[in-house]
Amino acid sequence: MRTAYLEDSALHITADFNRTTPIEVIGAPEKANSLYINGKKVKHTVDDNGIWAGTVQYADPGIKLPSLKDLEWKYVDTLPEIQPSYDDSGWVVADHKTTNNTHRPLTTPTSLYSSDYGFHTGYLIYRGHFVATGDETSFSIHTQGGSAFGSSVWLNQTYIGSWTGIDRNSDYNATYKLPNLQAGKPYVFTVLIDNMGLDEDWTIGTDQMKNPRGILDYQLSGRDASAITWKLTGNLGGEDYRDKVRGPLNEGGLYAERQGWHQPEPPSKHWESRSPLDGLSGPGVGFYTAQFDLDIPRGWDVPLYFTFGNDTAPPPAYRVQLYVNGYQYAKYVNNIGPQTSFPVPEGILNYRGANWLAVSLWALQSNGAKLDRLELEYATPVITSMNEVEPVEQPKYEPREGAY
Amino acid sequence: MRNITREKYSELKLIGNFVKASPSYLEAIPGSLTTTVYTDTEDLTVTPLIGNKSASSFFVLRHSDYSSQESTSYKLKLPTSAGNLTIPQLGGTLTLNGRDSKIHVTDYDVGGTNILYSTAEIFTWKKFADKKVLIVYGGENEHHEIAVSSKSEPSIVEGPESGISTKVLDNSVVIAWDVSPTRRIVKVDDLQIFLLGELSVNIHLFGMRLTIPRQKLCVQLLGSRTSCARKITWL
Repeated sequence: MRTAYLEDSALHITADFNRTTPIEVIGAPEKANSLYINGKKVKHTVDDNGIWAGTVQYADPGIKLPSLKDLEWKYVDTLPEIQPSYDDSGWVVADHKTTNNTHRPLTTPTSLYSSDYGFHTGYLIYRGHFVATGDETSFSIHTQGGSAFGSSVWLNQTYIGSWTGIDRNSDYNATYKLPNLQAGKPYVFTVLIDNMGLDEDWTIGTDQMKNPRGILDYQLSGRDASAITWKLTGNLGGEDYRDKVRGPLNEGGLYAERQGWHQPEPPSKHWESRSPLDGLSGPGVGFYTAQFDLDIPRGWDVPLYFTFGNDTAPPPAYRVQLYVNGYQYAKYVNNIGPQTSFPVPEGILNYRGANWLAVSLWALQSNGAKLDRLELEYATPVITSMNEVEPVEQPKYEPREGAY
Repeated sequence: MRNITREKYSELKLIGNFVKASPSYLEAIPGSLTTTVYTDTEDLTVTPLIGNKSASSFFVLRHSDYSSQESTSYKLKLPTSAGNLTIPQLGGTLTLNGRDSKIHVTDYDVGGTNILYSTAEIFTWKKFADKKVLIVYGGENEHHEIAVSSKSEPSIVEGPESGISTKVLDNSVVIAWDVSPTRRIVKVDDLQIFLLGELSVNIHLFGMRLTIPRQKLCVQLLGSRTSCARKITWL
């Protein structure tokens, strides 16, 4: 029930219905003699106790939704950082010798806490440059991203390994074996960390919300920590974030996110045609975008959900972000879960018109990953008296100055 | 609106409608909780809210061990304008189930008719041109009693007569009933008392105020009683 009002002798009621519904009015106003529900006249009877009775009919509207697997998906590699040609000169240099964090003292020569550099949300990427002596055999790295986080490490183009995550681990100290390095040659580690958000704190004095995100410590065998100089990025601009409409928590540090390609109308015309259901054949991060139309009938409130399949056992290690018209609406971890279904409200989705979808797929295992399923589903359509929903602002892609 | 499948929404609706219809609740003065004064068992705790500018008082009942999932039988011992009463007066006992909580009222004003007490909780009430309507509800299988300050013989004007007993006492009319999924209406003078189950109130009943003019009416959506699972909600 939403409202009730009298118009002359007509009693108007606005309400929502999910099936054929008998309706009674226990105390109708004295001067009312006819009943209108959502503007339509409903026949009613009046019994000995003065109770009005009528029925609102419900007929399934036959909602039709597009099949997401059949969309014209476009693909781009969103981890160009591991290519030899990649230029990180635009990146923030991690050169703070002290930290603003009062909770955990630094254990690295310079701070590698992302928040010290204004990166508080979303995926974090670190670049560690060093010149090899040739004696390095292993690399230990202690990363922290919050419960269920994960991280992956590359040396130049070579995949070194991943911490795929478990629910209770908010940090993890991984040791990876290195390939043979050549003395005097420059190398770069690329470390991708899933920042699950800062911790909540429900115990006075424990200061859990100050638990940093990023790299807590590292050790390159046979070398001083100062042998590596680090750069990092999160969302483009950090605290001076670019998308003032969708806000500071919307996007993270992936290349495609930094460019703004998760927004509607990315420059995907010449990208490779490939679907997230085809996925990646090796470790890395793919970025996929597609456009689709919806035509949901007016007068119906239809809850829509994006649902990921979680059908393979044991579940492969991959992480997904889903953007709907530029808004991040899902962060899905296939090997942890438990949420697989992500509701997106009308207004973010354009129920009558064009919509843009973007998916990032991060494979944390050497044989790659693909989505088991991705489907747009609906729950019971409801006859609604809700006013028509106006879409929120959905700024489309525009080239971003200074994006690296 | 979306599917509202959690009980919290329904509880908010019940409390919201009750408070809206009970201005005297705003002025009642809360007292200290007690396990010994208002019931016959220390397993139950009552927080009294004693009438201040009106005679209406409210008694909030819960299990003393708030994590208890027991069904606890009890009798109420309430101060009323007709003296201290042990309730139910017509026999039987009341029951509090698990983590449920109840607000019992005494000397509650329904448009000029005094409800001496009600063990069933009040959803809302309204005075219309030709009648007054009071809607009360109880949990499944519970026994309840309501007393109206009147000397008139009550009549059951809708629903089965089994499971209801009534008695005219010196200073009030007492109606006792076992909660049934079938709606019953009992009439005392110009007051229609709707006796409902909690589930049907939660799901089907909306107290609506007319936007034009400022007059209130109650609308009941009935649905099919046999499939009144809490998961199905109209809104």
